[in-house]
Amino acid sequence: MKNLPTVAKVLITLAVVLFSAEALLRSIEGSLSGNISHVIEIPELSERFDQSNEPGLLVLGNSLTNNGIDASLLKSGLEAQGLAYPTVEKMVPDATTIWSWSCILRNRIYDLKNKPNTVFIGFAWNQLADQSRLLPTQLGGFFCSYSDLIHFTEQTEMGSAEIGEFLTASTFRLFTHREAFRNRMLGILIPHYMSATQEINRRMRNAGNSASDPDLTYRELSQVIEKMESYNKHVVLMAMPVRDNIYELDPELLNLVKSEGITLLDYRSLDFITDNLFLDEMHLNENGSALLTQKLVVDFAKVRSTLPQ
Amino acid sequence: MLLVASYVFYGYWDWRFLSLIAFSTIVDFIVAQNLEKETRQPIRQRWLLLSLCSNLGLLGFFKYFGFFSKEFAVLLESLGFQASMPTLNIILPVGISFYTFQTLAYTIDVYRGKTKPTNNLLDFAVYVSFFPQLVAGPIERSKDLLPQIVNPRSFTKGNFSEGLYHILIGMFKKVVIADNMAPIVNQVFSTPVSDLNGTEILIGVYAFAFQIYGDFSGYSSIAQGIAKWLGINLSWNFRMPYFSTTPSEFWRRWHITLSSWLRDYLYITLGGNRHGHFNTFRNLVLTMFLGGLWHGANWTFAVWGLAHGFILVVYHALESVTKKILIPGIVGKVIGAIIFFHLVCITWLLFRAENLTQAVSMFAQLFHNFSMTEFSLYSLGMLGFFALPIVILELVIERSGDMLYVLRTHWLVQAMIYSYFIFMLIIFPPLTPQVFIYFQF
Repeated sequence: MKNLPTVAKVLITLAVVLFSAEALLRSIEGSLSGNISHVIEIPELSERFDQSNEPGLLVLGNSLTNNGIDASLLKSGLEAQGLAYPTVEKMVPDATTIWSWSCILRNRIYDLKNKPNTVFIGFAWNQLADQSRLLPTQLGGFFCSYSDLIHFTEQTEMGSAEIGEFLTASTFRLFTHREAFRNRMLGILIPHYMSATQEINRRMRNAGNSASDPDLTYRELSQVIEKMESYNKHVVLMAMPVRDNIYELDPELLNLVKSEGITLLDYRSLDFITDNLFLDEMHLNENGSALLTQKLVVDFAKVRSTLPQ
Repeated sequence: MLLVASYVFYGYWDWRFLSLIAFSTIVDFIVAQNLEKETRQPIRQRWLLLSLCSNLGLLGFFKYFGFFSKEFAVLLESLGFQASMPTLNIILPVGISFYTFQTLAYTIDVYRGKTKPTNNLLDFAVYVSFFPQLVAGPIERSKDLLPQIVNPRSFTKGNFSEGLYHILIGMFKKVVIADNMAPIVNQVFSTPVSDLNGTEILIGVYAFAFQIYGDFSGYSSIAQGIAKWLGINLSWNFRMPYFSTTPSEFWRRWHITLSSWLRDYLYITLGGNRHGHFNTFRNLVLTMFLGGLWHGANWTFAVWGLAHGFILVVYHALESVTKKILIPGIVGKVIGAIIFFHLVCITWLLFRAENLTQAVSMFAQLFHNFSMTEFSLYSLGMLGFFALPIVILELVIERSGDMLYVLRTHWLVQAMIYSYFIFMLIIFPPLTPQVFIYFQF
């Protein structure tokens, strides 16, 4: 090292620092945030389905579904109805949409010998549409493989910047977790960081929404349904309740549901889900979750007999 | 190969505008060849006029046609006439303000006998379209860039380390500083003025000062770094401009290549400071006015230029007085720099505002209610976190008198600085990426 030129010493030191940080991060990844621990446990959860020869239920979604459905209550509720599902798991990473969910299914569920019999997908707004948010860091870092990237470039308008982001996130955990670091560090150092950022995000979202809404399509969801049906498994969609920014169900989605003959449980306007059952503008609290899960138990018991066995 | 790369780079955005850069290149190549051969002054002047008309005509049409036709229509309507001006949806070709000035500098220098024209069209085409500096400068002079293109280049380890430094600090300034200031600036400038207080406007303007500095100097640094890796030295475009204590000093430190272009081809041509105080002040104001208009087709830019012109005039006029009252030494410099920084920030209000009405309203509101709100505390915190480290680094560089001071430090210090840049780039890119501000010029 002594005889190397200065720039070489600098670059070697940089490489050592970066790789050390990367290695350290991979070892403590699970403790970074609740959401990351949700993500990390996905392979383990899919293993549980594979190891059980009995029927299983998978609840797929994002934080809406995580807060809205209680998996253990669902399991016990179905048992009480005489429907035994030994394996009931939730895969509900935050801020995900159909793109992440389809990657999870492709990489963690489709290849399982013992796939879950039914996949419940909780959604709101346009989260099932092809036009839903595509987050390359999230996709590359957490859920998708390199072969999924080829699929995205064919199905979406992913440009070179997004492809670069996807590939960087799939290689470097530092890059993948940057938002978690950023929020944690700035949350400590900057006064009113969270509230100011939320306000800025809200304004940017409103500015984006003021542009005319594109016509929504559901090619990705359609492929998911088709694939599940090819395994003789079924998809049940759940339109989740929200407190503010109430949404309509897109006619194209309704057409798809009708044409594919799949079940859509519309939980947007349940009488017993009142404003005081929400933690914030969209997430249910514990009591709200219990009530909604009970409703799901009842509804699923009713429709189960109509689903292919 | 450089020419192919540059044309592919430029054409990737919109291949149709390659014709414009090719047109400008061919016209000025021919003009320069003829200026060299021709000895009769009237003919030489006509050749120069051809270059001026072609380049300024391109710039005028693509950049200003819409603006002037709209303003002309407004004027006609105010006089009671029905105005029906042609509406053309003209796209502003990226970099046109930069490469037209660069080729104009070449033909004017050949006309003045300051430089010899090149006989190789391909070399000249590379000079015009050299991709690192094509879209946002630095605006290079032929005497500096052309010989480097014509002569064989070598790649040394010095080139690599210097290029690496420029690229890293450039990306840091653009991605970490400028793009993180952007949401604060956008928030302030999109909020109705009556909903803002003086502190919020002031901090918003500080944020813009660092946004535009980080954005533009960052791009210039990246361009310098990439050029260095190709064995070419580009001019410094920024030298810690916010440490300036006078407007003359500021324009020797901010967008150096544009201000020196305006000085050499406009201010001096108008007479410079050779014909008394009144003409000097007139020339300063006119030069800065046109410099402001160069930035964009909006009255805010023109008034911004005028404001800088008047600041220059006032400082010139008060020079003999201020020398007597200035506090000597470092304290005087710091106070002078703080005062001048705030003058520059007030002009940034004009630069960033959507229109003159907003600029005037914000300026008036600036002096009302200096209470700290949640937003001001947040913005101040973000400014401190993102901008303060670079201010400290640049202070050290300033005091060393060596722009490449970092490269002279111990390798461990360099590694620490680069690690800081890289970690900040990985972890603190902005919520949404922002385009380079100067691409719109």
